[in-house]
Amino acid sequence: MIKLENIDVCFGDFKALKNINIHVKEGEFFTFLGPSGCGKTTTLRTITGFINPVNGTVSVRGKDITNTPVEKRNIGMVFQSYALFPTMTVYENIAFGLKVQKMSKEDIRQKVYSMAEKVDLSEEQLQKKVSELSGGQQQRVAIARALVTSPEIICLDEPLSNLDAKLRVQLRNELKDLQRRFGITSVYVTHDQEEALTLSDKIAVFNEGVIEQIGTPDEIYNHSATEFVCNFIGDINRLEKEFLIASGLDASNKSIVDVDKKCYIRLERIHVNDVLDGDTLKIGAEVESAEFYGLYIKYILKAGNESLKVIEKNSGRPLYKKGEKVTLSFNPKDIMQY
Amino acid sequence: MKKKLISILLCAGMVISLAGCGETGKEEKAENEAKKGETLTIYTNSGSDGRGEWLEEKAKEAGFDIQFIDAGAAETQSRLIAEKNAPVADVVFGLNSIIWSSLKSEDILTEYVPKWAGEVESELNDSDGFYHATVKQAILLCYDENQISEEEAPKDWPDLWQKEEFHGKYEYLTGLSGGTVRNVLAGILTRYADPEGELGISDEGWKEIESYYKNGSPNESGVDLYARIADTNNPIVCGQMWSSGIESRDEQYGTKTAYVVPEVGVPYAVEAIGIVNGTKKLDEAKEFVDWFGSAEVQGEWAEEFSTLPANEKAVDKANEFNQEIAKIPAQDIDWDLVAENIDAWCEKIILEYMP
Amino acid sequence: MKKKKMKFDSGQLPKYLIYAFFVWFILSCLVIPNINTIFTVFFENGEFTLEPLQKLLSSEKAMKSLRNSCILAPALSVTVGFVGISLVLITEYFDIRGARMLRIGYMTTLIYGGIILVSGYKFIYGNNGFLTNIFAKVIPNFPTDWFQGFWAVLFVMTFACTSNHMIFLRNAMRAVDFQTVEAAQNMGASQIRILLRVVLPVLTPSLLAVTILTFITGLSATSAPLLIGGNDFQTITPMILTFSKTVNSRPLAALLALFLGIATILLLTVMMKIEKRGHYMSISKVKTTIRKQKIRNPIINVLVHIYAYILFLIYVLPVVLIVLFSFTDAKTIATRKLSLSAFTLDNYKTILTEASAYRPFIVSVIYSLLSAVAVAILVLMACRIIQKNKNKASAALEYGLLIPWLLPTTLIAIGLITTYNTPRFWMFNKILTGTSVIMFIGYVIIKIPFTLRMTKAAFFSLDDSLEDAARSLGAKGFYTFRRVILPIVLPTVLAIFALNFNGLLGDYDMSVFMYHPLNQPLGVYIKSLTDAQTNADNSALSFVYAVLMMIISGTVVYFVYGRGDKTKVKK
Repeated sequence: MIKLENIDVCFGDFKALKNINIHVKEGEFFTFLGPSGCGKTTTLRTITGFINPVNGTVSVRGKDITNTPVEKRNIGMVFQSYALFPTMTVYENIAFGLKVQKMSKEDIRQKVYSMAEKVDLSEEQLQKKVSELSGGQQQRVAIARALVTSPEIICLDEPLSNLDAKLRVQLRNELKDLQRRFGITSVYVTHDQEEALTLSDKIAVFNEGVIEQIGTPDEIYNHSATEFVCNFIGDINRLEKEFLIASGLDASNKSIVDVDKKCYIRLERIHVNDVLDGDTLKIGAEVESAEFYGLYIKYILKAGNESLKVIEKNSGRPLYKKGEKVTLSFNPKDIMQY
Repeated sequence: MKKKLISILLCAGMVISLAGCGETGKEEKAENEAKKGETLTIYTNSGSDGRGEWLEEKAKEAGFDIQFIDAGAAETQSRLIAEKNAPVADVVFGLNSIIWSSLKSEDILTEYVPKWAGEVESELNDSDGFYHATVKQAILLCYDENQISEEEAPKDWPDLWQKEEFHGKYEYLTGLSGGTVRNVLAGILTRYADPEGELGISDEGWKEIESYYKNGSPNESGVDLYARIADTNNPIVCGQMWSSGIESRDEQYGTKTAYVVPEVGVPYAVEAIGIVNGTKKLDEAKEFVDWFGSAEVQGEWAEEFSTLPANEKAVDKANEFNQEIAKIPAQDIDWDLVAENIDAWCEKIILEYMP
Repeated sequence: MKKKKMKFDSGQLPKYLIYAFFVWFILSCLVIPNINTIFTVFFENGEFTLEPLQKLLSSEKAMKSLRNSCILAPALSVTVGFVGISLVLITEYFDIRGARMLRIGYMTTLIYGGIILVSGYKFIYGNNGFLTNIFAKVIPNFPTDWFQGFWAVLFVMTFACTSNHMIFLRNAMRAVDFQTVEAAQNMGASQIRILLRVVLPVLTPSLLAVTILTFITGLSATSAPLLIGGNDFQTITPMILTFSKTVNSRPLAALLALFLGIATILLLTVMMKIEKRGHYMSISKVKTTIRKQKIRNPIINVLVHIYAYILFLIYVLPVVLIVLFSFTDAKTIATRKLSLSAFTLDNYKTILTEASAYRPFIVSVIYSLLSAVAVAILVLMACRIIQKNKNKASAALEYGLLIPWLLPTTLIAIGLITTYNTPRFWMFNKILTGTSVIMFIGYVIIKIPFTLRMTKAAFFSLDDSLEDAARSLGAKGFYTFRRVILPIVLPTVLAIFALNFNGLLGDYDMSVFMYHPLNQPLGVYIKSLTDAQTNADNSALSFVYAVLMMIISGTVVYFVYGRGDKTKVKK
């Protein structure tokens, strides 16, 4: 549905985006993920039209909109700061886009009320000034305002970043739920990898103005295309050559694992005293510490010179104590190397 | 907020339309009277104290329709010069000889000798017929007889700075654009005329003027000289005054004004009337000038506003006080020298002598 | 940050018309009429000359006056800043008893100024003043002329120049995010620490902006030095005014004005740089409005209350005295001896029964209203352009509009008449002299720089994403401006409107050269009344007019401000 082809964006001498190619499909929840300053917001603003690329084209449903002004694109946007109009009431804020379309008063009323209902804003809240709402309510107003004009696409620029953790999780779910209900194509910008993984159908990971990888959350997580991606998404252990050899890897057979490359393994892919199918590599280690999370336990272990973090699902058996000797095992296929 | 703005704009609109009505009303009136005579625009510095209204009334009776631009002498002069290419004014009256002579040299006036010109002392009129005198004002050094006696009082301007007893007791003006103060300066400086000297004045003259400012007390803006004289706590006992301002001040402040009559005489500020070069209503303007300067109108003007008419036939209408003033001899001043240099003199004084 | 490709389409037409208008306006109203004035400084009879410069450099008085102006400006910036901040803290931040009344007192400077204000202060502190008389009785040999010179000027001007603080700084204070204060309290910060480290830094941009204005006011101080500067503390502007009145001394006036003007522009340039460096924007999404702080230390609390009420007295007494004295005669005013028998309604009768006395009021109100509205619209458009385009053209626009700060009003007026007393291509071959339009143009011109300065500040504190949001909802540029931007900056714009209106209401310097014979404005009318030659002294009348003008100005301020305040209080 949305296609970005060979997009370059410059701010003065600074090249903010280099050859960006993205294809967002109809109804998809597409997330731009990356550290701050990586170009994800710039890409989003290129889609909405606030930024004009130096090279490349933006098209929606095959129609080139690269030079279409913002106001004619029919792309909704939720801003990081929400950008609610401070001089208007909640109602007026939501009705703004409809008024621009010169819709009749009655139609506006109906649309605003039904939208307010969908995002759980009460009638009383509609008459309030936006400054009188809580953060979560403001966010819902911002979303309602963006959705009420029935845009084809909605762009969300870190809409959860200013909220506290609990509200964030709650609103994240609401957001996903809303998206599912409306079935609207969504482009979402965040630097929070957990948010990206849980919400998205597809993720594009950005770094320094280029896309490192585009894929589904599990592709991104389990098969990170680049070292940057595997480091940025989730926690990971770097495995040294000596460690791998000590765990019984055949260093000469580079077709399985090339020990001269940088090798990584996810925390949950190492098992403590529990050999799974395919776990051909084993090594003895000593427990340094254990953190109990309820759902899982996080161990820090020492194997030779290597310090490893391992996550074990809480299966109910007693925790390993500090100093206890254990055997770690893992599958060479789970090793990602770059 | 929006409503507020709209209401403000609405109000503005209403006021404007009201004003518009007012203006058209007035213009219609003007048109009606244009049958008798066109509306003359008159510049003057002498329209205050109800003089403007009085004159408007009288003129109407005589069949003239006039409107005023009333401003200070210096502003009137500036405005006339600035509007040279598209004059708004038809007639100018008031001002003083210095300004008249500058207006003449700037080509602002047009020549016209009114019917009454012969009734005025010929020295007061412009020899080329560009402006003609209407009112004389003596520019005097005044003091309060309640505070100092005639014997104690200065005998002439130089006494103020040459005799120590007057130091700090006389007021000088810090602003030098007014007509009165310029006459005072002319009266003092032209005594030391010297073609070789700086700006036509000898070094001695400049020393004297320096001393005048050094030993005097500057005026307080917004405070009348008489308020300071009347105030016994204030050291000021004397200062410059124009003759027609004396009576009303005596009345208001309970002072008993006496004035110094120096041997050389006193400067007279001569108010005059002239027609603006480029007026489209020349004939009407000429008629107005003939009417305004006539012995009859000037006489009534003198009675009403206690002035001293320049028209000799009207002098008897002046009150007793002004009759007295009329007897003071005029100081012989080289007005051409003054007109040529007065701006430069004032500049020099402000920059170099005024403390 | 944003980069846009300019493309011509018919929708852009209004935009190009506006650009064309500004080019025309700046050239024909600001540059061309004034260029000749500046020319006369350096060229005499077509030849380059440094004579005016030499004249000034060799004049001890001119140099001293210039020095005094340059001393006054920074000194005033400091003292006005201090008092201004106190006023804002007293009325908006600390919990002070009677804050509403105090606020009204502190806002009196909005409705009067100039000579009248200084006269009011002289009634109290000057020779024969109330306070002076008390001192003289209590302290033997008390110098009754104590209220003179630098300190007196500084004192009066310090309290006279806080209008901008009461408007703009107060607005900034109300916009402070109270959560930041609470956060600081929570972390155990002391009240003084919170004030200095949390609250005041947020006010810094507004403080900078009003300080510039104070500085400029200090540089061009007129009434206060004239009335109470004495021999030792005369400043440059009275000299400029004197010279500008005399035809042949205008080059000197222009040169002196240029000194001040260049100093002003230099200062502005520096300030603009500082301004660009950064904004202290509130990043919080959920702002809480300020809750007044009770001063916890009881001794300090009492001291602050005393301070607040002393300030109140300083502000209110001159106004009260002007009102009182407007009911007395010239002699009472001169001697300052109020007695019951001195009171009379005659002054008011004289003015209010005279039919011709109404007209100047109506004329001035209309002209001031129209000009203030026109300036507001003009500057809003200009600010919009400056905000949207950061390039050389918009910089030229900004500096172009600041030109009127370079020259004194009188010279601008004369330049305008002299230029347009013949048909000029630039004015569509229309002669302006003698028309009713020229005074309107003049009024607009002199109010542009101040308006631009303050409106721009409001524009720059806007959150860019608001505009983006409106556009992404489909609103076009002008609609966005009207519905989103304007309502946010409107309070500031209205405040500036009120200040401009009040400033123009009694204008003399511009009006006297430009007024149409049928439309005599108030300033000229009052001046002709009070300068009357035969009626001895009309100081009483000038007080009556001052009071009447205060009433009009007060009404305007009330409509713009008072009501706004109330609605806010309700909520």
